[in-house]
Amino acid sequence: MAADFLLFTLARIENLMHQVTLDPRTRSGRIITNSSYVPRSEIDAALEVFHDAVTSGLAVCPLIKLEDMGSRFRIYTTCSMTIDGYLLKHGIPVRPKGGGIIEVVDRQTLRFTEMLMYWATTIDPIDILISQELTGILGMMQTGNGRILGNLHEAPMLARDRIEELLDELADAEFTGVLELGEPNMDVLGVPVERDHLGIALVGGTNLAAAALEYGIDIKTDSISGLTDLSEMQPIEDLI
Amino acid sequence: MKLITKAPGRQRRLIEILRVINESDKPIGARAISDMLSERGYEIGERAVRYNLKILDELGFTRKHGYTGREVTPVGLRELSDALVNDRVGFVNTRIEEYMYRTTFDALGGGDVVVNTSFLAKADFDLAADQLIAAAASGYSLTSRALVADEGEELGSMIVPEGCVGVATLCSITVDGMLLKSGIPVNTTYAGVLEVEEGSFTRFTDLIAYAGTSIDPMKAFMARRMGRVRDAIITGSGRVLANVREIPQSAVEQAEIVISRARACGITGYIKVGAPERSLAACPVGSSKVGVVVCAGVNGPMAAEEVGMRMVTRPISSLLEYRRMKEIR
Repeated sequence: MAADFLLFTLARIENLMHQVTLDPRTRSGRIITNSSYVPRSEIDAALEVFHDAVTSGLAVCPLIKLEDMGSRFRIYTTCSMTIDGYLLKHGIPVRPKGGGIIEVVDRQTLRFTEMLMYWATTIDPIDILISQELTGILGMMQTGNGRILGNLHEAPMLARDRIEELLDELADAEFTGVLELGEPNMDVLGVPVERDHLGIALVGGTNLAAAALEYGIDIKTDSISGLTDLSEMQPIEDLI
Repeated sequence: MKLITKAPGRQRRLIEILRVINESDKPIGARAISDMLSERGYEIGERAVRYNLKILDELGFTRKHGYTGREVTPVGLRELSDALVNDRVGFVNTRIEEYMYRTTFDALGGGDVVVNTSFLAKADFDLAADQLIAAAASGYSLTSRALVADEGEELGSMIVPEGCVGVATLCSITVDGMLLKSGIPVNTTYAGVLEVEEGSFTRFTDLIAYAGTSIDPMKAFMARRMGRVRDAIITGSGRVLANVREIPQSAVEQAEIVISRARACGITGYIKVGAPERSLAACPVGSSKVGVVVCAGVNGPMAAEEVGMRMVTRPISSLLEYRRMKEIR
């Protein structure tokens, strides 16, 4: 029987965040992943675009998992919520706020131009934004100007130093993707934060798939779709 | 120089001026802008407006027109849709509220209703009309009436382009307006995708809260092609778009009266008032509130798109005298 209430994105994310067991020192454990589905005939092209996007700094992590499903492939990429999961496991009460479109000018992230709150929707905001055709990811990769997918998170300002330490640990293991760590109480990319909080803007892991879509590849995405063990993933360079 | 580099209060003032110029139907000067701003609660004198206009010109958002007038440039238009994202989260609610307030539809069939407008190629009209009629007959759209405008005629403050036909269909905010005018506080909570099985509405499969998005939820569902209106019409099983409203428990009886009056005026689409404190078709309802589900007016145009008609539909586009809307043929 169907559940009484629908599952909103925030609840789905928190469910997954709790299950993250990433250990950046040993590079092991479970992380949150997005899935993309690509027809067999287009997989080489898709991986090329993914790789280009990774080298342009549009991914959370260069590790991916490729699953052969016969007529099509399923590609698992790292979801930025993995970073929330890691912070959470170290006692930081981090809250994912929403996903949106970020305007980039001269390779600098300027501001959010669209935003959907996670509490407000049962469909992942990123999936909604992709189908609105508002992104300009290829343009950003080629000219440094464009529009990419990103998301916003909030944490108590008290935890700022600890957050920086933890983000450094993640960066050492190639988990990057922090676009901006805001000052306490200050706007992050044009969006205000709650009192005594700071905002963290992260790059959306789905930028890879959105870039492939812009390139004309017949790709279907399913963001924040599940957990994947790092041992099953490999660097994207190895697949090119 | 970028707008975002300016202090937030400054940004808001500049954007407000840009909005005033954009909403004016002809180029507008500093004095008139100052007066319009005053109506919106911004006390900015003519001199200060002139200074801000210079900044807007430098940013490339406005340009001089004639001796004193200003008009918005394409860059400025783009800026209006990009700037101050936080102000735009929940903006659809503000727009709905505005139209709820402005609609004058009475229970006797007179007054203005809120409409969505669609444009399509003339050659496609007959087939599209069939879909609009079928959607209304199944109760998936609000009424079987519409206003059809020929090329060159005005519809929803736009001129119907050459070779096209414009169709205005009833928007569900008309019903919200009727509830409001009878003293019921209506809270527009969600837009959703409602599943239909064997002719009856079962549950929502997806919801977006109006208060938490800068993108119109209805447009989001339409762009993702989440409806299966045509299936719902033909087989009785499919997916249609619907709105959810919350009203106070004490207003249920009054709401039922208003809805039956709407039905008597030809607004015969699916409208359901839920039970107190109960989820409605899997949609959350606030405590001591009752949910009301109203099928979306855009289901008709969506059915037409599903059979391959190319249509451009703008939800909540304008007000129209209800008597001008006739049975579609």
